[in-house]
Amino acid sequence: MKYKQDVAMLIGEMNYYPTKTVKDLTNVTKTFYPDWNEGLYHQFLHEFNIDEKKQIKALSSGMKVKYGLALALSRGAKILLLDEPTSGLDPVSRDELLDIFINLVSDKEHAILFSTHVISDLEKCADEIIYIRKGQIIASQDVTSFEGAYLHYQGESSILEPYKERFLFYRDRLGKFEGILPVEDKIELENNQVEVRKATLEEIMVAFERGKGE
Amino acid sequence: MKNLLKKEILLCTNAQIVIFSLFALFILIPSWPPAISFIYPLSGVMTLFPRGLANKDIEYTSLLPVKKTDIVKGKTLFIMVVELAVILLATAGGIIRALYPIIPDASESDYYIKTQPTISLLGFAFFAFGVMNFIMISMYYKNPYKRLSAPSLISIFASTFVLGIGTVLIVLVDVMRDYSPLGLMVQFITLAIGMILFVVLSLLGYLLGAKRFEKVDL
Repeated sequence: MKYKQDVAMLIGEMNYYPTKTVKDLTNVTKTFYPDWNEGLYHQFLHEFNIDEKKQIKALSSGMKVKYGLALALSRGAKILLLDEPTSGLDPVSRDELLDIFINLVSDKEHAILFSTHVISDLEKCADEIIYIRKGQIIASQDVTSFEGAYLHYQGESSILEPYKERFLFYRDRLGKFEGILPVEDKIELENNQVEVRKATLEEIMVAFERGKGE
Repeated sequence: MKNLLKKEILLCTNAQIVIFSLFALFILIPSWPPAISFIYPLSGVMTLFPRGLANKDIEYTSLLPVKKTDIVKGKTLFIMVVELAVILLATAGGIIRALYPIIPDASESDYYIKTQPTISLLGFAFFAFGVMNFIMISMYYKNPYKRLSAPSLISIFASTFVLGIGTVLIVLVDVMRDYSPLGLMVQFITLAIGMILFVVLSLLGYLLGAKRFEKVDL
C-alpha cells in the first residue's frame, strides 16, 4: 500500500465516471491519500487551466492528462508511470505537456517513465530510453549515447553500394544511397564523397524496425 | 472501507439507481402483488454493474491504494445499503397501504386480503436480495470485462423466483398472513430467517467474488 502512495499510474485516457465533475472525482480521490496537498492541487488546476465544475467527458484529451497529473502530484507521488500520455494530442498540447514533464523532473525529486511511439517526444525531453521490440529490450541507455552509437551516411550509390551489407538499414534509389550504420562499423571514405552525420533517434528506430533495406 | 463506501455513494450513484429504488413504492398500488416492488429495485441494482464498466469503475478503484478484496467488499456493502433502503421504503409503503386502502370495497375480496404486504414477505424480500447478491457478485468478479449477461440473468431469475415462491406461500398458508399470536410468531421467524440469509448470502457472495477477483489480471 505504501508503494501505491508513492507511485502514480496514468493508463489510457482518464475517462473515469465521465458524467461526474472534476470536483466530484477529486473529492473522492483525495480521501484515500493522507499526504494530499490541497494548495498544490489548486495551483496545478490554475496552471493547467482546468475548470473544476466541468464534467470529465467535457475535458479535452490534453486536459485529461493534465488533470491526471494534477491528481498524481498533489497526492505526493514521486514516480509517475504514464502510458502514451501524448498520443492523440495536437502539437501545441504535446509541447506543453513535455515542458511540464521537464519542469517536474528538474527538481530531482520526481521521476517519470512514459511509453510513446512518438520519437520526437523522446528527443525533446527524455534523459534515458528503453527500446523494446517484440517484447525484447534492445537498448536501455541515455539518449545521447544511443544516438551517438549510429551514423547516417548519404551519397552516391556507386560509392556506398559495395558496403551495403555493413548497414543496419539502407535505401538505394535513383543513384542515391542513404543508410544507418553502427559507429563501430564505420566506413572510412574521403570526406567530399559522402555526407556523414550522427543519426537521429527516429532514423535509428526505423532502421531497427525495417531491418535490411531496399 | 469508509472511503470506499463514500466513493461508491458519491461516484457510482446516479439517477438510474435512485429511480429504480424508488419503485419500491409500487407497493402502494392496490391491485399489484407487493413482491413487484422488490423486483424493480433488483433490476436497478443489476444495472450498477454495466454502468460501472462504462465508468471504468474497476480501473479507477484498482489504482487507489486499496486491496483487491476491498474493492469487492466496498461494492457489496454499497449494494446492501441500497437494498436496505429499498426494504425500508417498501415497509413504509406497505404500512400505508394496509392502513389506508385506496379502494375500500376491494378490501373484502379474497385476492386483496391474501396479497396484502406482510412481514413474512419482507423475510422473502431479504432472502431474494441475498440470492441476488450472492449470484451477481460471485459471478461478476470472476471475469468483470466479459461475463455480464450470465450473472445478470441468473441472479434476476433466481431472486424473482424466490419472491414468487414467497408470494404463493403467503397466499396459500394462512398462518403466514395472520396477525394472531401464532401467525405473528411465524411471520417474525420468516423475517428473521430472511435477514440472516441476506447477510450470510451477501457475505458468501463477497468472499467468493473477492477470491475470484484476486486471480483476475487487470
